[in-house]
Amino acid sequence: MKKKTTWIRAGIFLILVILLDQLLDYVLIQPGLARTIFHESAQGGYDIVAVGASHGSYGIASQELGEELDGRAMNLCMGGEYMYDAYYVLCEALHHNKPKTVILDVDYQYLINQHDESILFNQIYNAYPATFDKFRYFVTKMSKEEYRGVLLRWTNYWQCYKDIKTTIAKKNSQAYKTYDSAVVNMNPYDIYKGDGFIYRKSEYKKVATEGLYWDESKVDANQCKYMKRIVNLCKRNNIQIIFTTVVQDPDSIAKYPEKFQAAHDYIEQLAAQYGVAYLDFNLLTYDRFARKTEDFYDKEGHMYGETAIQFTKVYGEVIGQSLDNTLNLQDYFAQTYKDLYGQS
Amino acid sequence: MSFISVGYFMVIIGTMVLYYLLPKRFRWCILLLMSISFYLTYGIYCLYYIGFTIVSTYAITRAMAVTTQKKTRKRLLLLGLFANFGILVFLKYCNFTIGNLNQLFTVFHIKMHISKLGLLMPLGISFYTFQTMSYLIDIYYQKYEPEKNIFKFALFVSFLPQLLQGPIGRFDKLAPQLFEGNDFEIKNVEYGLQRIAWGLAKKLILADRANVIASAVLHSVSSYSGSQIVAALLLFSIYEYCDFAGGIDVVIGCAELFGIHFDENFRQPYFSKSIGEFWRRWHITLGTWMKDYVFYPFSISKSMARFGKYAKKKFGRKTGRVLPVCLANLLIFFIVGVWHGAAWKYILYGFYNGLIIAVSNLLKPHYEVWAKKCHIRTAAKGWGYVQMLRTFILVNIGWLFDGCKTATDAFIAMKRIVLDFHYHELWDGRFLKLGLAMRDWKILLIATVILLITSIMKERGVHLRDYIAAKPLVIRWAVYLLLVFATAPFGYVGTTTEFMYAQF
Repeated sequence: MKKKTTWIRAGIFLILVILLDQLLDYVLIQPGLARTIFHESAQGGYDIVAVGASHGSYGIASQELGEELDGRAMNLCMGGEYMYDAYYVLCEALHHNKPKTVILDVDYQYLINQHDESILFNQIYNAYPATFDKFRYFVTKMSKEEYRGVLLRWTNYWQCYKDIKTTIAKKNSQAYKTYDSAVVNMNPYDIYKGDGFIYRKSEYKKVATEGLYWDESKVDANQCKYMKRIVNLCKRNNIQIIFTTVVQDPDSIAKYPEKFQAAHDYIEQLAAQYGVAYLDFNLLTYDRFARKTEDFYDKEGHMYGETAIQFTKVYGEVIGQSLDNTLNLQDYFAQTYKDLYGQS
Repeated sequence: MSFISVGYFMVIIGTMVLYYLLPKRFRWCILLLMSISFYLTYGIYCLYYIGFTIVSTYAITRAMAVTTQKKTRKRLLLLGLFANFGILVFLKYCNFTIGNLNQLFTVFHIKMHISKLGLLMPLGISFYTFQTMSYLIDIYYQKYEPEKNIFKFALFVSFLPQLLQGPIGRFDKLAPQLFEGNDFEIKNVEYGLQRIAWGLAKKLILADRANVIASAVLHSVSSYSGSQIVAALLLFSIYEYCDFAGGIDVVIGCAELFGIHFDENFRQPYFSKSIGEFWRRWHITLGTWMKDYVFYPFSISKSMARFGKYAKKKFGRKTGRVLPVCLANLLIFFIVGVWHGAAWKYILYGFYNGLIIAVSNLLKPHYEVWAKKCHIRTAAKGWGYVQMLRTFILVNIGWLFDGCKTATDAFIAMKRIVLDFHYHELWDGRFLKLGLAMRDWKILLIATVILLITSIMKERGVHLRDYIAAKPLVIRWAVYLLLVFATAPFGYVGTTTEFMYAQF
């Protein structure tokens, strides 16, 4: 009898822990944009899908990209989207869409950053729809993550306890239920333009955040493995795939052009190995796309919205030509970083 | 997958469920399967090394069992020790030796350069090698019968929770617990989870936070003043203890879930009154390993007996008796230094500790005389506190070798502490803004106080776990819920590091 009571108590305690954890998730976690983006993607009908990280999410204007490539474009680039995240994001998108083209925007920092601030980067997994792919995603990626990021998901939001009332109200609102981005807590200088593109207003004061500089010894082989899996996934589904790197702050590049060149060479080699074209828009000549440091809101190279819109027109045009095999690289790109940015 | 990964806990929980569902005689199989599968997640190359240790030690001990000739047994022992320690030393010290040789070539203008080898260290190699070699030596001395089943032996070598960072177990204590299949007891689960949560709290609330400042300062000592280095060193002592002891808490807690009880590895080390005592309270299983397998055999060896006789003749009875012990201590701490890593700073760290213990042993009779002359009541509480403080300072000086990047940096830090000490630099804002927000400092301070209080309680013989377990259900559950959830709001969020000793 005593044993039975002990078991019942243990069970009740476990349920209590789970309930409390869920409750804290509900009242503390702020509605994120990833949820809206997944929902939009799940509506289907996209012909072009871009995956990548924050440079892409701020730098690729979906509407302009669609116009240039004659189709509907969905920007599935999200901050903290590593290659394995990108793979599963793409898997989810392919369940609902039959795109002709996939663009993988490669920010080299994600190849060399060992993903050590893990629990800060779980928004994509958390917003991922509950499918079998989510289980695979969990096994391959999340199981290696720190337990707080998965089991105590509210860890990152616990300081939002002051906003509990607002959070509950938001989560009960119609807008939340219809996946409207209006309920998302965003930077006041950001406007969500739909289809995954975040437009940052130029009033946002430039910040000094610098990126990581290329170091080949730090390349995470796992990221490269997932790049290959993305390529294979596209090939299996008869989708054209192209690797790109969107433009970054020219002043930051001019500091260490040789490091950017080394990153470029590495990615280019990978792309060649996987049989994919690679377009590094940091080599885009200034006459094709004039840019200056003021067009980027940080030294790492995230674009302001207006720059992104202008850039995407050229980006789409070049990608279009590349896919049609009519692109003459010399018309748009410098040969080397040294040619364009000089020597450090 | 590390100790703080979701996967690790899922593997442990899944295995636990299967363990208790299976008939008793098969339970050890699931433990072996779990251990090997988890180890494989670090790469197949790890398996070659541990596989070699398992197979070679098993074969040698089986051969020892059928041999009656002492000479053959000794040869087999030496073969086992040489092969397994050989791998460990080669992997740890090959590139270190090459680096030093290259430096020598440069000094002597020899145009030669040896390229370093791309060696990968299998995880936990130091721990499982030491554990396995203790088994080999025990079999040699016929302390117990060798294990006949190679798979059971493999489990002893590779048991997951302890594989990565100890504690270093002994076969005679562990084998019955590992192989016989333990009954499910809710108390084991309750205590195990308590211990895991406590370990995680130590790691995520204290260690990771303290490490931010400690590593920032100690990794570039030339940029900081003596006062800042001292403050960082104190944080390093918190980091070092909470990281290692926290990891061991997780290991011990996980093993408890299966009804397996490991030896304790820490006993409030910062309350030690001498460096010797410190090493009996810090990494206890390594200390006892060294005592049993290096110190005693070395002390009672023929050459040491001869040296003892010589020393007694030359330096008198008292000193002559202590000198062999001093030498044995120096040897042990040299090995401890070498064990810590392939760098001169670790060798100096070991030598520093060995030297202090050796000198303390030599001066012990004089201390008593001095204490009498100065009218110090050595049995008084106050004197005990002075001794604790003295030991803590000595331990922290030793941590400089551990925390700084190189031995040279450790000496620079010492110099700065003596010659460039400015209190005001602690409060001018720079130190406080080295990577922690004010909230982090507050949490660090409060958590340290809590750790101190619990340590004092333990020191006074209060068994906190039993104390909590005896409380009414509501209080107990409240404490457990707090423990389960504490690391979310109070744990450090940022660059979390792997457990320091998991890389040994």
